Amino acid sequence: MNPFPIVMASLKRHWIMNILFVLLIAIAVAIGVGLTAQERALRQGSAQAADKFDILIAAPGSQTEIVMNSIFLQHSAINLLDGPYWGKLFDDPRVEIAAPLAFGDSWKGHSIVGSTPQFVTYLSGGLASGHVFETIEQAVVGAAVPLAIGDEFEPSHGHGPEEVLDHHHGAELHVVGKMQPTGTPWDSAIIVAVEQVWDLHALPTGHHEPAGDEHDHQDHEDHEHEEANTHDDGDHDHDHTADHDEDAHDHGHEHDDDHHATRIGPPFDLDELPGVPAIVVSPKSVAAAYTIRSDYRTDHSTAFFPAEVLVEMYRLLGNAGSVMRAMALGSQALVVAAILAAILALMQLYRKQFAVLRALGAPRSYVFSAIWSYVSLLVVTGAICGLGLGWMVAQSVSRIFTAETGMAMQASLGSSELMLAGGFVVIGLILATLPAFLLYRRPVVSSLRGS
Amino acid sequence: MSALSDLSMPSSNLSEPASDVLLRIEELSLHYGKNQPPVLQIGNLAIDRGQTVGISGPSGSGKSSLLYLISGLLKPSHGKIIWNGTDITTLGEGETDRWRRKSIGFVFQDFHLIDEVSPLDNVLIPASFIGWRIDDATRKRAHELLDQVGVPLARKSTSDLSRGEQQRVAIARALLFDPPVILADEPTASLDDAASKTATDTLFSLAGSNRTIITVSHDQDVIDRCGRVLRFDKGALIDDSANIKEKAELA
Repeated sequence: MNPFPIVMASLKRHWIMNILFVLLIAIAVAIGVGLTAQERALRQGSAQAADKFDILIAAPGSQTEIVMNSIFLQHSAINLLDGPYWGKLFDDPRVEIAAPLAFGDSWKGHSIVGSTPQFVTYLSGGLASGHVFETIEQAVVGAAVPLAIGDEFEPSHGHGPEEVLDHHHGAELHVVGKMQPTGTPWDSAIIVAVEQVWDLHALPTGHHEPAGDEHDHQDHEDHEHEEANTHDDGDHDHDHTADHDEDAHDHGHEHDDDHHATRIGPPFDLDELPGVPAIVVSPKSVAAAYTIRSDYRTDHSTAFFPAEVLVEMYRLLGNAGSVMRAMALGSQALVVAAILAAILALMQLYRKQFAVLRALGAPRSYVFSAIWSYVSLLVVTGAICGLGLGWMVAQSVSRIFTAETGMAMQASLGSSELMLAGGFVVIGLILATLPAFLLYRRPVVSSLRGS
Repeated sequence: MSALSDLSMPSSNLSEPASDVLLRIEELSLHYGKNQPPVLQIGNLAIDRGQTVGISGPSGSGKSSLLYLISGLLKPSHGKIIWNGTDITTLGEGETDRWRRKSIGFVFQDFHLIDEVSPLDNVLIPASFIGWRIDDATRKRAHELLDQVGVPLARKSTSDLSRGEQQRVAIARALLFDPPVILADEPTASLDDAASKTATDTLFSLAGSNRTIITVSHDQDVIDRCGRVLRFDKGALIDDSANIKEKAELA
């Protein structure tokens, strides 16, 4: 028995309708596949982004906000952890690496983050080219930053839409190194010495300054006063845009050669340490991680594993995903029902043809297999197209997401997508028996008579 | 399976070489409901091998029902339909399908060809019922059948054929398994006069000692070409030209 001549003829006869069936099935499958693939890509991308951030220590506040600021570089106003509370981390024997993160500036939408040279090496696993910053006027750029070694740039105050383009600090920074791609939002970041950020914002630089620098600090008196007020208001609000947006102007700091002499990186002088939004800590052991987290959960500081926050975010994401998947499943069920109804109607047009085939000697099983194969072919073709379409949509969304966040997201077809499409196919193949069975059972003579 | 090896006609248990009677109907009746009057009732009827039989009568007289009954597509309420010694009313559905495939070639009023395939593939469609491999021998046979019914082999599109040509392709399709019986249901009703004459010529050219043709028709030209005419009215056989001939001979 070979029903395919009839199947192919049926496909050709109503080809527009058949293409519509396949498209409907493809879209229904693509919605489910796209959602699942995208959700997984988001999880993988965010997990990869948080990979190097074992422990975050910050001032008490929203852990999610701290994660969004520190790992995903989505900046918002968060409290600052005062220097004395975090400075002692550098002498803590349980700590492999501790690095302050200071935000506030950007260049053409790229966050400028102040940290330590050790953090740059730790984050990128070695530079792609150049060397880490050795003075406060040097910078290392992420792989996706359109600056090359030797380029100079001037930081602006603020981030993203809040970036105050005409509010330059008046400092020219030199690119001396480029990080290897990390597949995280940090690929779009520019890392400078944390002392540079502090200095630009007229804060102590964490080191006892030589006597010659006194004049400079006098120059920054206004800003110092402003920052001091901010620190004293009890909220420790570090929203520099709010601090400065009323006087959008060039600070005109005198960045003379003395800055080159400013020391960078630890050890810091505790009494000279300003507050920072967050400290990244890499512990020496798992046990150390837990004791550090415990020790820094105080009235003045919070310590947590970003992975825990991500798990909570995934849970929320998962809940939202479940709702969306349920909706996708509902739409798939509707599509299947609509197609089934249309095919049942279409079968009425075919009933005389199949009755004639029966009269010509075709067994009932031939009729059954021809109709079942026809419907199954539509379902399988639609599901395959849906897999491809879903993958393409997920890829596009991932690309847009990556372009916007810098977080590498690779939407791929995994077992869950294949199972989803496979489940659709199995249900389709089972439901395909319905029109096949109905026509298979239909009396030949009544169909031949057209009644 | 070779394309042509299965073309041998009725199996040995269906053979009845001693008799010329091909079909015998005994006390046949068909009801569409327990308390309904019969739509068809025939006492006894025999059709010999090689006859050309025309069945005529007004609409609703039961002539198409008779065609469906003797082809095994309908089961009678009572009676026997004996082909070559085998009562097909006792066969199961699968056996009836196999028997019909080997024994009966059907020609319909509306041809029922598949427009999306070529005339040649239309002729070959029945081969797909039993999974025949479309080998050179099968293709050659389909070519010969198209040639026999006068449809040019060069024609690739079935929908481009004239209605007369389409009916002749349908006749060729009915012949693929080389059946000993052709059943035709109003074969010229959808054709104009010229096409009707060609199709009738084609149909009756197939008749011979080894092939019996039974056709239902309102077309007097078709009925006139039949060696024997059965006239039905209200489900009853009211005239059988064989009986008339017999009576005339007796007289």
